[in-house]
Amino acid sequence: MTTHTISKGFDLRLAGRPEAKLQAAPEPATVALETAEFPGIKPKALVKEGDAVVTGQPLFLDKVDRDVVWCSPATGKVAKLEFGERRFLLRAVIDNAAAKGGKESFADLPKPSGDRTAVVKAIKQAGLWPLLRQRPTGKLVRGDREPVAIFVNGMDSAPLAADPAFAVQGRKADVQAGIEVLQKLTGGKVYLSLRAAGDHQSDLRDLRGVEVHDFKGPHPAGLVGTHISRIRPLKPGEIAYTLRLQDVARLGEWARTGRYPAQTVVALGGSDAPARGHFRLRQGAEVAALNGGKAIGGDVRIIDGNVLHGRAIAADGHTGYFAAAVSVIPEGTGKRDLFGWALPQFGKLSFSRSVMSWLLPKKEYVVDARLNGGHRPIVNIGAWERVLPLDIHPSYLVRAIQANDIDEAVKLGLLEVTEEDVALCTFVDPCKIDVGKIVRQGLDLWEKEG
Amino acid sequence: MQFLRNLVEKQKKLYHAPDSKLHKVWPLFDALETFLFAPDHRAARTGTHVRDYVDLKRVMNTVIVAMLPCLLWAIWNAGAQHFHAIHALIAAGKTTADAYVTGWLQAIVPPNVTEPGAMENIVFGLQRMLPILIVSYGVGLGIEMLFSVVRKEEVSEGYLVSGMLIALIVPASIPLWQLAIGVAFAVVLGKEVFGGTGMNIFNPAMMVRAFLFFAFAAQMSGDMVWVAGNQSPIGVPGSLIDGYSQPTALAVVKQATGNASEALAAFGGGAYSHSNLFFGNVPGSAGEMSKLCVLLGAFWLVFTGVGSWRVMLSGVLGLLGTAFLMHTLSGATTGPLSLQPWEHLLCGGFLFGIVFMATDPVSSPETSTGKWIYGALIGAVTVLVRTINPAYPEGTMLAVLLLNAFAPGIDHFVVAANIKRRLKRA
Repeated sequence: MTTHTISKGFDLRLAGRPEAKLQAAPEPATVALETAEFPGIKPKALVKEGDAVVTGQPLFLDKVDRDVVWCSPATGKVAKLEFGERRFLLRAVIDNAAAKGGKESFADLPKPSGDRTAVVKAIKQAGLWPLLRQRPTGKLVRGDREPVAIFVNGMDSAPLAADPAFAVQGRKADVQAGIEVLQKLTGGKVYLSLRAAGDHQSDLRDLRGVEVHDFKGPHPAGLVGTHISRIRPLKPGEIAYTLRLQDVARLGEWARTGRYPAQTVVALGGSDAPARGHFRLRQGAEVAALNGGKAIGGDVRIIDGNVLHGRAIAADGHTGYFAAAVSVIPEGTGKRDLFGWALPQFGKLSFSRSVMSWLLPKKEYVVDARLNGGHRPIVNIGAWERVLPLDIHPSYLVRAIQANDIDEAVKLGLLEVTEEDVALCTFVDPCKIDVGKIVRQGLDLWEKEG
Repeated sequence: MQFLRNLVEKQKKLYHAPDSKLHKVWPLFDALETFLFAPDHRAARTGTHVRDYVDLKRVMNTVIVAMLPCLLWAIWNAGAQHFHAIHALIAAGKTTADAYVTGWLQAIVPPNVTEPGAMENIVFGLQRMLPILIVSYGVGLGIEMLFSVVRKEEVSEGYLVSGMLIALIVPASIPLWQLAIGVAFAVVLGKEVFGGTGMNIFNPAMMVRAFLFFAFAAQMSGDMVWVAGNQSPIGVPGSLIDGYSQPTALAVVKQATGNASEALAAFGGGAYSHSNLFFGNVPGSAGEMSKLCVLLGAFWLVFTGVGSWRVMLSGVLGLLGTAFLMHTLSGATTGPLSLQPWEHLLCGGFLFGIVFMATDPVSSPETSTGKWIYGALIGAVTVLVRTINPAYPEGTMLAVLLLNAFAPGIDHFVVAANIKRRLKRA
């Protein structure tokens, strides 16, 4: 075991941290799968509206790799298939029979066995392949290149995040079975990153087949991009798979039972969250299920993911395929501070001491979704560098991408980051530049240029 | 506040819509509106949903706060030096208290010329500094807004700092028309032609100083300082006290025939003593004289994280190190090289330059290593100009501008090393 100390970064102390209490959320009336969560796929529906489906039955496949399917996380009826331009499938909504007291039945999924190719195919057909993501790019794994390593992330340092170690508590057998699946996917090592001296880790310290690395320090100490840079940086042409500890447990559950693992643990937090805790929730459940079936109202922003990297969902929307945390913060509509830039602002969260909240530090801050400033050209006061623990010069990387010079951007470390790794740069930037968006544009261009 | 907000919202209709009558000058309205109220922007629905409370306005405001001690001292010192000079002339029998001519503010608050006190100093200082500030901000912001309207971009805050810096690095006796020309030159050719805030190569305030230095060398050469007065003597532009001027501390050093440290200490009966130089009881450019005020500003900039401590520290180390080497290796006992190395910090505008000008995030290197190199070289070049160059007594301005030009080059090598390190892993 190695301990890595991250010194650069920033922990956002936000109000409404989810408590370490697990309870079952009610069965959602509907569940949904959105294709927008998987950029680059070409979905083809395998069911029609009105069809009866069982849990684990494929709903659509990806025409780029027809083995990759997405399965229904519930038993019931296909309520709606939403299409966009040129009949591009946007969303599949399933009426969940269990909400009305119906019985859940499971599709018979093949268990993983045989060589790497057979295991890959089995994972794809079980609808679990999208749980794995590829570095570089941080997207769905494409092609059949073998990864040099698999990084399992057993911690999350993002604000209001669920603690993955807590989420898989009591599921040691599932985690172990999941790791055994992963071992078949790579000739390299499987790494597990854990928070140094974290809680709920008793089951995780003696797993077989993984190399454990401890990380301590402020966010982004818990991001897989940080872990890769410290454990085993990728060389040009190499790829790695990344996934989260709770997803390993889901893989393991499928490997052990042959059933689609539809239940996930989602942390609910944020200053405006109706409750603060961890919920056992059906994948893709409508977000209202976290509020006892009632829509979360008010001028709030409901975020699937965390406040630094996530997507906003409507009050009547659904949690995503990857949902591990849902944060509810004020939206801040129409709120405009008089002389906001000139007053000391004792109660505002900031990385910079030019905001005077360092004088009277609060334990927790309520932060809304306002930008708190106008867009400006890059004026680099060194804030990006202070929150990025990677050996990258972020301003030069951003400029190379903006100039569409992808060769230069790659030399500057584009392939070592995703938008999640630079989210803190976006947060601290006084010029309100969306660094994550720029990084994603760069990665997209890199993919396009092959 | 709600009243103000309603008023703004009502006016906004005249400007905001693309087909509205006054839409052409929308950036002006936007600048004013966001000066009052934080802009109504919210984070995108995907990505990063929360943002730091700091924005560019606040960053610039923080720098302005850091410069306030210097500004206050500038106001005080312009008055103090003025009455000091008047009294010296009265004592020498060259003028009388009755012959004193008042300026525009003194016409409202008449001074007691025979026994001037704090009030007299402040009134005179305001009388000089307010017009300088107004011209500096008026001309500079005017041009910035004009370019914003033409470019249809939001007005950037960069000039808020430049405007104040400019007021602090020109002599209080400067004719306002010279200042206006200098500001116009620096903002248009030093900044806007490159694309505005964030795009310029040279520090705009330093460009003003350089322009004035070369265009109106008689008043800005750095050898002699005049003391601001209320009259423009015949044949001399600017409002200064006729017949009263003295060499700057660095000019004393430059011209020293004996030991420079001793010459400095002996000059004018201790006018350039260490404590006078440190606290700023000397005539010179408005804001850079008091090292104490500069240090207060430096502390604030470093504490808030807005100014780079790397540039400041490496600059001072570069200055001291080079001065020490030059002093020791040359073994000089006479001339500028004989000045004690640490006395370089007290003389001239180096401290002000390294704290407020060299740390400009746009015209300095962005990499940490680059900042160390850049600061150290500014210190080194300053000493070289001061001690070896036969023409100019002060080198800070030239050093900062020179290193501004080299900043992208310094970064290039640091970034190239980063790329090399990345390739090495392969």
